[in-house]
Amino acid sequence: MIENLMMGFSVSLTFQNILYCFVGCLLGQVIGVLPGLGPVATISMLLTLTYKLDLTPAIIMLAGIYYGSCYGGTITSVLFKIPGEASTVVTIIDGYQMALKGRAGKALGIAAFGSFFAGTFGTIVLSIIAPVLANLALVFGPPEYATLVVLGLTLVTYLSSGSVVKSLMMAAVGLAIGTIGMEPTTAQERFTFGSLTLAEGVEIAVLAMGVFGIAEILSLAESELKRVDRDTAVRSPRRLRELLPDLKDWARSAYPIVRGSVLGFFLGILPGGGAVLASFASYAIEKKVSHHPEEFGKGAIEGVAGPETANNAAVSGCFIPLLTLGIPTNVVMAVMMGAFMIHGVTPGPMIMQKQPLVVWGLITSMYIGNAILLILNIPLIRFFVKIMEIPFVLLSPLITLICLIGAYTINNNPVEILIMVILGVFGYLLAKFEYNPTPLMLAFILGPIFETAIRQSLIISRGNAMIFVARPIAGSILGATILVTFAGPIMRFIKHHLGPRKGLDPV
Amino acid sequence: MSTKREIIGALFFVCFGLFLGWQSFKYRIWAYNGPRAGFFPLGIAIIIVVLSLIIIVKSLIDRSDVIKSQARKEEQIRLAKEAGVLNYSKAAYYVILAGLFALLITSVGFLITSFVYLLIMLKFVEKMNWKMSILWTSVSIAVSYLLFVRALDVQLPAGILRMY
Repeated sequence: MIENLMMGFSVSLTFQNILYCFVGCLLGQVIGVLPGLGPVATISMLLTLTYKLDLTPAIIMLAGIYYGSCYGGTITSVLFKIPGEASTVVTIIDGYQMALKGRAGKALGIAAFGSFFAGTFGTIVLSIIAPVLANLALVFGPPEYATLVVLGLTLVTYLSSGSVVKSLMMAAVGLAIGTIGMEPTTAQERFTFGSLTLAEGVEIAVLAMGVFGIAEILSLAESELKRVDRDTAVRSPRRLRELLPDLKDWARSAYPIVRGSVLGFFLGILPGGGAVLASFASYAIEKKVSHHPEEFGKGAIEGVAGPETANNAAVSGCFIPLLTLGIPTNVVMAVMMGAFMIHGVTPGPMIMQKQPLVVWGLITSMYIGNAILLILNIPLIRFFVKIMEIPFVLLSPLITLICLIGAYTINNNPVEILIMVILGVFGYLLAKFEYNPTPLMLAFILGPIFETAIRQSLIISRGNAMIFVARPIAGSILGATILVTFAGPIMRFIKHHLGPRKGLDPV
Repeated sequence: MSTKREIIGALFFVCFGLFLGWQSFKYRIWAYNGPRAGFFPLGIAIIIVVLSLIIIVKSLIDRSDVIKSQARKEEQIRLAKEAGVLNYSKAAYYVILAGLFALLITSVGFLITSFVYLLIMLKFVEKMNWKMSILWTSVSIAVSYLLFVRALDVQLPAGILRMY
């Protein structure tokens, strides 16, 4: 392992590769901040830039773009409540609340440090057990995926400080919105009502910008009181030292960062929503183990540290199936696979033997890329916080315009803008009726995976639902789901009815 | 939140669930070898309707006098605080102007539509003065143009102006 890492660093620490890594991180972050342009669009747009490069710098640059754009998504989640990327949706819950309290710098700072730690952890673990973990991912079939999604959606109940039933309702609505468009197995159109735009389904970016960004802008637009509160809270005098996390923040974030790294890395291996699941699972766990669960949803730093670390660790994890098995686990990895193939290299079991310099150069460049992001962003935190201090009257029309342009650029289709606005009104009304849209987003992302997994499972079992229980891993995950669901009420019942009775004289 | 509001919200989702379930039957639910396109949405529709009914029943059961009077008190405090400073029309203008932007961007073009949109928002909706509105609009549109069109080579409609 040490020799492999040394070999990798000898490749990634050349001036040329550090430069490409830096350019990738910078470009990725700048574009990741723009709503509507996530890592997939960013990498796709910049893929052509890499044609003239050799394979190693090309892949290093593309990887830099990927996690650079992930951090860019974090910035918009914290500052504007607009998730730049699916895995940064959870960051909104506490990150935005921290920003409203004048603690945006601390949220961004802890996200940057957590991501750096996750990148370091991921690099080391990746180098040790990549092939073993890849084989583990192969064991997961449709029933395992279906039960894993059920577990993820159940964890959703921990995300809302409000009603559990309402959280589940939002998850169901998210699954429903996910059915719009082409059905995943037979490509039959559903709920399109003759619209060509809806035939392609609702775009993730459009849903995110609408339900979170536009809804928040409408909510602030209607209430002068909220705007004054916001403008007052974010305009606190501070030095750079005060902007960054202090010892107390570090003390509260240390364990969430460690837990998030482990959780994110292993969940990132799973195809589909690995990074998304990792961030949601991390949030749920942190809320569960926290000594101050009531602070979650109101600006708890653990609610940023854990998920941000988890989603960055998942980035490292998702390279494993690509490099060791040649299986891309998400769209970004598919584009990366395309980059490999453009240069005449096919990722798979033999790549580590045939192209060790490329593979280990890529793995070690992730560590360098995260270090670059940290060095780049710490001084920029003051700049980002300044953006928050721009009065809302100036900022909100501009953010709205950028969202409108971002929605248009997804498919060069103005109908996407209308869909975003409608979803924005929907999100605004959800807030009025005290429904939290975060579970909706998770369910929307996982919905197609869930449906495909259920249908494939039922086809395999010829309609017998016992397949979800009979298979050991699926059954275990389902058991864990039931435990998670009923543990709280059972414990409360035991405590209330069978615990020591108050007011009785001890005999 | 008041019981009435809870019930109204839940009734909306009941209607949504019923509509979803009705539409699901247009696609086949089951075939000889497994579920078809309508299976999953039908399942979700049933869940939505059930959850909505649970919310309605919970709202009705929780209608104790103590909760009602507390909710009434909180509502009065909230209304007093926000008396005269709740501006639904501003939110409506945001929605209407965004809709108009969507309708006009292709025919009129990105530059003109964005400029006019931002200017109207700043001057007439947010009530800024002319100088600040024009300055902020000009800078914002220039930066947006340089970023999206020049730097990222994103295709945005030229519309009336065809110089780019």
